[in-house]
Parts: sequence; structure tokens; C-alpha cells
Amino acid sequence: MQNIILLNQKKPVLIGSLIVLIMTSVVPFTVTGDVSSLAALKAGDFSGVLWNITDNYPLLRLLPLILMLIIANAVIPLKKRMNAKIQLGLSLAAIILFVVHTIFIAPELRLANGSFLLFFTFLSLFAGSLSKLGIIQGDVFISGSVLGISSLLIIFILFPLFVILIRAVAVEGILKPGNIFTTLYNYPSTLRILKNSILMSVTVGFLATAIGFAFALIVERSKFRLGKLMNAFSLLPIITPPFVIGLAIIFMFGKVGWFTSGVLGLRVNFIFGYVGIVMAQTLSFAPMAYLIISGVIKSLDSSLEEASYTLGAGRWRSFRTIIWPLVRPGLANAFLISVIESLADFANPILLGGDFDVLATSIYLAIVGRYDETLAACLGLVLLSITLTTFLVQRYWVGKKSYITVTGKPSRNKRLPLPVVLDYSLAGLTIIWVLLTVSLYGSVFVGSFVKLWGINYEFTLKHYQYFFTVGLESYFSTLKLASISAPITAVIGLVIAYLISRYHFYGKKFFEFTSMLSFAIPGTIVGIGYVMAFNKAPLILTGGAAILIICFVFRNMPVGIRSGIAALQQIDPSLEEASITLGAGNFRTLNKIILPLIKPAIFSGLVFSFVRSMTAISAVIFLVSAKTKLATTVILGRIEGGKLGIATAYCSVLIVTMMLAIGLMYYFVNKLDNKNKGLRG
Amino acid sequence: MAEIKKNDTADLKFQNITKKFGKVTAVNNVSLDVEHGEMITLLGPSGCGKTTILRMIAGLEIPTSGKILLGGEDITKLPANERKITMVFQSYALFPHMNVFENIVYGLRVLRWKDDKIKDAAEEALKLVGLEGLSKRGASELSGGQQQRVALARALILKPKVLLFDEPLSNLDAKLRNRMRAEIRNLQQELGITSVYVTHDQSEALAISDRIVVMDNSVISQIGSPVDLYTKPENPFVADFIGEANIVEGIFKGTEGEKAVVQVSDQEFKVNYKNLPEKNEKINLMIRPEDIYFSDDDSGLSGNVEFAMYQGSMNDYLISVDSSEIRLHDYNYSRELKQQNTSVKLKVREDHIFLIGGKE
Repeated sequence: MQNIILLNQKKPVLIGSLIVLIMTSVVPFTVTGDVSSLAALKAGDFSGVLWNITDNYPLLRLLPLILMLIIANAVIPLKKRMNAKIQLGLSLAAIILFVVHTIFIAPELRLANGSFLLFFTFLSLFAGSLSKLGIIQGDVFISGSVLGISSLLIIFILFPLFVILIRAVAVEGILKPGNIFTTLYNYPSTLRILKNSILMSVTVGFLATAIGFAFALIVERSKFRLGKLMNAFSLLPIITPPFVIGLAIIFMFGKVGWFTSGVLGLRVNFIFGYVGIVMAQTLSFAPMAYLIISGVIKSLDSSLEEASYTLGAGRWRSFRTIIWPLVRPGLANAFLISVIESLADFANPILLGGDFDVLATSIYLAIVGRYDETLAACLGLVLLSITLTTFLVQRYWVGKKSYITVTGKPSRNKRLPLPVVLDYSLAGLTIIWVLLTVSLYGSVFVGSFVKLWGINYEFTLKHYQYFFTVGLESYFSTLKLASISAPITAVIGLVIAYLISRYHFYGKKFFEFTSMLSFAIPGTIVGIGYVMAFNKAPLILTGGAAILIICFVFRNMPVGIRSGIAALQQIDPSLEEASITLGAGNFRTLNKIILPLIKPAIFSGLVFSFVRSMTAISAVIFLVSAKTKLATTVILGRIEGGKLGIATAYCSVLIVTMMLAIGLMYYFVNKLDNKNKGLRG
Repeated sequence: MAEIKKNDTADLKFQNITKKFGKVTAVNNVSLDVEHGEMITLLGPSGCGKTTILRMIAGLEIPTSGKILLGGEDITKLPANERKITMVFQSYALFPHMNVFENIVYGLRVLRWKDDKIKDAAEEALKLVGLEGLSKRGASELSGGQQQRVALARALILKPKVLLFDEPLSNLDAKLRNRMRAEIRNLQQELGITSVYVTHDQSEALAISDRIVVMDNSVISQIGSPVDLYTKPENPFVADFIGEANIVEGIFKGTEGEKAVVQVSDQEFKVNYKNLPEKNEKINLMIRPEDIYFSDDDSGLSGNVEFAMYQGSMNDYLISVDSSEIRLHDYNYSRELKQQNTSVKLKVREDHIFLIGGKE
């Protein structure tokens, strides 16, 4: 048995390295001309292959040489640990050589698939020796995932931020940190933009939290059973494409709005600016605040309140002295997250902002209107530092102040009545909210079928006809890209969740922080970061579909990670330990034990990342090209061209698409859940 | 057939093992030899490090320092899935999405055994644990005891070099627990498989072990056979943890033949000892509650009944003697329960008393 185990460990190294060695003579290491590496391969153009560029880059000869040494090391049996140590040294040398060569020696060399192949081969060889020597606990799958995902996080999350920073401080090739302040000082609108942004985000934070709290109380505690209704409504913002709420507000409350002009007979334009943005954002983010707060209220042990009643306190007093202090951390949480979302929001301010310019839109206009990358980078840093601070406060201060996990026992959830006055006023608020939401979404839907909203309400299908002639291409390309990125997001998210919740390794805190960081980075920043980082060698990605997929994957990853962690918490770790002590590796354990048990979570992670990709706008607006159009950017184009009818038709199609996706998800998740329940008895 | 009985079990050595979690030391410089075919129990209160030791044997934790040898081979850093050491978990850890058969043969599937061989092995394993005919049941359709047997079969089918038990009976009710521990012990002896068993239940440890390792605060407090630990505890912790014990202060007066003479109150006792203290040094005596009885005449230690409790099979007393309190179990249940605040005279079975302390 020992022999078989030994062979099993060495075979992959041997065969894998041999294959990679052969492939390096075929797959281009670099891109010559404008041909993609795949196209070069098809055309039989070998000019970019490693062997053909070593005259200019002699150091690169070392890479295949090291690979050959590793193969030799795998064939020659030394003492068990000696082989592993040699492999560790060789692969590490190759990785360092590769990185140094790419960054310092030949930054002009444009990397292609062959180089990625080599890099990740050395990385997995390095990972294999790490786990064999017991430096990382777990097998090659664990150490490989940690290293592989860490490199991806560094390249696609940290590196773009670093490039923005460099762009902000670089003046004609020299780094001057003071440049940020001079640039911002010389730009006349800086102070106004900053004031606007903070005013907007704080207002929205308060309103969204207050409304979310009201809904949470109504759903969890009221005698009016509105839970199902509210839960359905809380899904709406997720499946709503950007601009829908903005358009609806224009339709209802704008100059020719159905309510302001049609019902009240006014001709007012107050919605463009502060009022409109706050309205749209509150409508968008209150449901999210509701979800956060209701989680907190649900976990409150009702015996605390019962204890308060038995000690002689009335309903109001109990509410004031028990519920309120206990949910306060949850409210702070919801507030801070709403603030981040508000600052990061691009669609509503660009549509409804008017003169009221905020950071996210100013960055976009600095790039698109003024072609001033330095200004964009500086404004980006301001925005980033605000959202990042908020994120850190939320995560490490407020997040820790929660009272919820004090007992660890599952709390009983008995419905205790609210004070009567509170109960009725909350119910009233909810009904107003529901009516408002229905009428807003209805207006968009109706708007897509009328000739010209506010002027001519005649029925027409021309907007949809127009959509079918010009919109289909972008619709299908969005569908395609979202469908490709969703499974990648789900897999990476799941693996990260697995590593974070089950393993300890050096740098885990950094790993966890970076992977959740993209939540705190506004899309606009990701967009300009990607544009600046990936439009020149060594890594050129702009202009293609790949950068959009990468953007979707890393933007949506936190969603996958969260659902993965939540699902893994439900599974007893001893199931995995049992599998491992029975001889299974980590990959087999993940595949045969964990995956079957968390299928529903994976599936919903899949659908949510799909939906988020379909509705993304703030980052991808910088990344789309003539070749790869996306639905949301096309809609923005139509709105800017004044064709609101077509925009609403397109939005309606998207909403229906997303409803189908979510409906499908619930159908399958329920089915899977029932099946699992049957197994558990 | 009878494949499982031909195991290649091995001995296990722990050499100066230390395990730290951050700043907390869970296991502190522990050395331990588990002999071939032996059943050894790690016993101690929660947090004493016993489970950490078990997990290091399994490979689920890697020691901070020290070496683990299995059959003479260093396995300290060998991944858990290559150790051929299997484990029965506290929660059984049966895979909920697989039936009994698939659970049991999981490890054989990893080894890519042929289907017919797997079937034979599974049948044998099921028979061994007395679950014939249940192979198609879902894991959750079994009773607690049956789940326990499946977990055992699943661990045994791989013919492990060492079999580990992590508090395997703590989720069963008291009666089933007694039955299962007898079965586990029988099976272990029949197969002659090296086993390490973790529990915090001292009566379980006494019942099933060849040797017991008592752990306290991340170090080994005492190693010995069940009888040794019960009758000759080397320190107050072991005395108190295994069974109930009165620790009574006395003064060492000297030796008399094989016995040590110790003065308690105004009485002298001739007791067993392992190590001797200095003359006239204060020492502790370990006296089990069942080894004290009420004197029939007027001689013996004078005491006063503080609490008296009826317990069915015996009467349980707390009696103050001088300034200390002594627990007494009176199994002579024909005797009436003495009332609180009665004056009593106590006698002790001297050959059952053990002197704790002294220098080696």
C-alpha cells in the first residue's frame, strides 16, 4: 500500500510537468502583433512561443530548464522529504524569476496563455511541495487553491488599486504624493462634490435604515402578517436593472410625471438633483437594510422581553429598554452598508443628478468627458478612502459589537406583540411603500407600451420592435457573459469559503480581507483601475470579453463567499474529518461530501451572481467595447439619446429574464431541499 | 473472508509532543507509548488536551513540536488521509446523503477496490457489528446505537493501524452506553487492534481500558491500569477525578513493615504508599467514601453528620471531622438514615487507604 501511495503522489508531478513542457513549445508565451494566442495557435504561428523569444529574453530559458530539473527530481528517488525540498526550491526559484522578469526586466513583454500556463504550473508544484513538507496543512488541492487564488486576488483586486494610486501621484515619471492634493485643489468642484456625496450617502443611510427597521419590525413582530409580501418585495432591487427606479421616478414625478403633472397639474423639476437621487437610492437600498435588520431581530431571544414583562415593564418600556439597545448594532450595520452602496451607486446619480454631481459620476465624467486620468485617479482615491473607512468601521467595530452570539443557543422565536400605536403606523407605512413600489414598476412597464410618456399615452409595440432590431445583440452577449462568469464566481467563491471556514494557513487574514474587499470598492474604481492596469503590457485585456468576465467574477465573489460560508456553517466539520481519516483527499472530500450537502447554496450563489452580472453598470461602463456591448450600457446610451421608451422596453425584458432566473432558482432549491430532507429523515 | 481480522495494526509513540493554538498551549510536552494491540484511554476534564492528542494522532492537527511514530515510522507531518488511522467520531459523522452501505465502503472506494470485493468486505463488516441486512438504510433512518455501529464498521473496514474513538458514546442514553462499551471492548480485543479512546467519563475509562492516561491542564497526570489508578492515585487530581475521594490531611510518622504510619486527628492509620515523605511532614490520604464506615463501638474518629441523603442503593453522608469534611457511602441499606447533627464514630478500611505525595 505504501508503494501505491508514493506512486500516486509522484505521477501527477511527472506527467503534468511533461505535458506542460511539451505545451510550452506550442502555446505562445507572448502575443506578437494583435493576434490572440488562440488565433496564433490555430494559424500555426509559433513566433510567440517561448523558444523563439529567448534570443531577446535569455533569462526565460531558465524556466523550461527548471521544469526539466523538477521532472528529473520526480524520477530519481531520494529520501522522501529530500525530493519535496528540492521541488520546493526549484519551483520557488522559477516563480521568483517569472515575477521579477515580468515586472522589472521585461515589462514590455505582453504575456499570453503559455506564460500563464507555466506560472500556474510552477505555482502548483510549489504548492505540492509545501503540503508534502507539512508547511501548509492539507493536501496539494488546499495549498494550490490558497496560492492560486491569492495570486488572482493580487492581480485582479490589489494591483488595479495600486495602479490608481500610482497614476494619482505620478507626475512625468516621478512619484509625488503631494500631487493628489494639488490636483484636487486645482479642480474647482472638489469640495462641492465631496459635500454632495456625503450629504447624499448619509441621508440615504438614515432613510434606508429607518425604513428597513420598520419593515423588519412589521415582518417579525406585527400582528399583521406581511412577511411573505415583504420578502418578495425585498428581492425586487436585486433583479432590477439600473436606471429602472430612476426612470420610474421621472415618469411619476418628473416635469411631465403622471403624479406631479397628471394628477397635481404641476410642472416641476425638483427630482433632478438631491431629492431624486435620495428617493431612488432609498427605494433601492431599504430592502437590503431590511434583510440585515430582520436577521438581527429574528435572532433576539423573545424570553428577554418576556423577562422584562414579568419584571413589570410595559410594551413601550420593553421596546425602549430591551429591543432597541439590542438591535442598535444591527441598525448601525445597515446604515454603514447603505452608505457604502449609496456612494458606490452610479446609475441613479448619472440619471437623476442634474447639477448635483457626486464622486462616482465625477470620476466617470473625468475619464469620458475630460480624458483626465490623473483627476479620475485622485477622485477615485477620495471615494475609495471614504468607502474603505466605512467598510472597516462596519466590519471591525460595529460588526464586533453585536450581542447576538452571546448564548450560542438557538433562540426561541415567539411572536410578541408590538405597542399598538407603533404596530398600526408601521403597517400604514408598509402599505404606502407597497403602493409606491407597484406604481413605480408599473409605470416602467406601461411606459414601454406607450408612444411617449406624459405626452401621448397611445398603445404601441414599436419600442419592443426597436429592441428586437438593435437590442438583441447586446442582450445575448450580456446573457452569455453572465452565464460564463456565474459558475466561475460560484466555484471560486465556494473554494474561498471552504478555505476560510475550514483551514488555517499563513496569511489567512489577508486572504479573507482581500476577497471580501471588492465589496467595499465602488464599481467605478474597479472600472478605472482595470482600464489603467490592463491596457498595456504585460497584461493587455481591455477591449475583449475576458476583462468583463474577470470583472464580473471578482465583483460578485463576495456574494458567493457569503452564501458558501453560511452553508458550510451548517455542516458538521467532523463529516469532512471522517472522510479524510478514511483516506480521501481534500478534493474528493469537497466533491463527494460537501458539494452534495450544500447544493442549494451553490445554486443560489450561481443565480445571484448571474443576476448581478446582468445588472452591473458602474464598473463595466469603462470596459465595454464596440465588440462586446452590454445591456446596461446600451440602455444608458438610449437614455442619453432621449429614447426613454426603448430603454423601458429593454428594462422590462431584463426584469422578466431575471424573474425567470430567480423563479427557476427557487424551484430547484426547494426541490433539492426536499430531497435532502428525505435523506435526513 | 475474515479479512478484517487480519489487520496490520501497529504501535504508536508520542515523543515530547507540544501543540499550541496561538498563545494557548493545548498539549504540553507529552510523551506516551501505546503498545501493539493495546486499548488506551485518554481521560480528563474538557479542555485538558485529550482530544487534541487524538486529533494529532489522526493527522487532523499537526504538532507544534515533537514526533509521532507509528510502527517506528515518523508520521508527524504525514497528511491525515495517508496515515491508515481511522476514527469513530463523537457525532458519528455519518454522511447524511449516503446509505449505510455507501458510508461503510467510502474508504474502499477511495482505494479503488473492485465492486465484488467491496461487497464482500461490507458484508463482513456489517456482520462484525451486528447490522446484517441494513445496508440499504439511509444514515438518518438508524437509531443512535445503529449509527454508532455503522461508524465503527466504516472505521474498521480499512484495517487501520490504529483505531481512534472520540467520546463515541456520549450521545447515547445510559443503558445503551453500557452495552455499547462492552461491545466495543470485545471487538477491540477480538481484533487485537491498537486503539486510543477519549472520554471524560471515568467509569467508561475504567471499564474498557488496558491502560488509562489521566490528563490535566495539557499534561499527563498519571498513566496506569484502571486498578492502579483507582487504588493508587499519585496525586489529588487523579484521586478525585477517578471515582469519588476524600482527601484527608495527616502527619507522616514513619514506616511499619510495608505500611506507612499516618496520624489523622487523634487516630493512627497504617496505609499503602508509593513514595515516602519526610518524617512529621504534612501529607494527604486518599480515602474512598465506600471505605469509611460507622463504628459499632465507641472507638474511631469522632465526627458530626452535616448532610444525610437517601440515594437508593446507599446512604450518602457528609461528615465533619475536626475542620475537614468527609464523604461516606453507607451501602448497608438496612441501616436507617442517620439524622443531621448526630455525633458519630468512624472507622476506615486501612488496607484501602493510599498515601498521596512524597518524593520519588
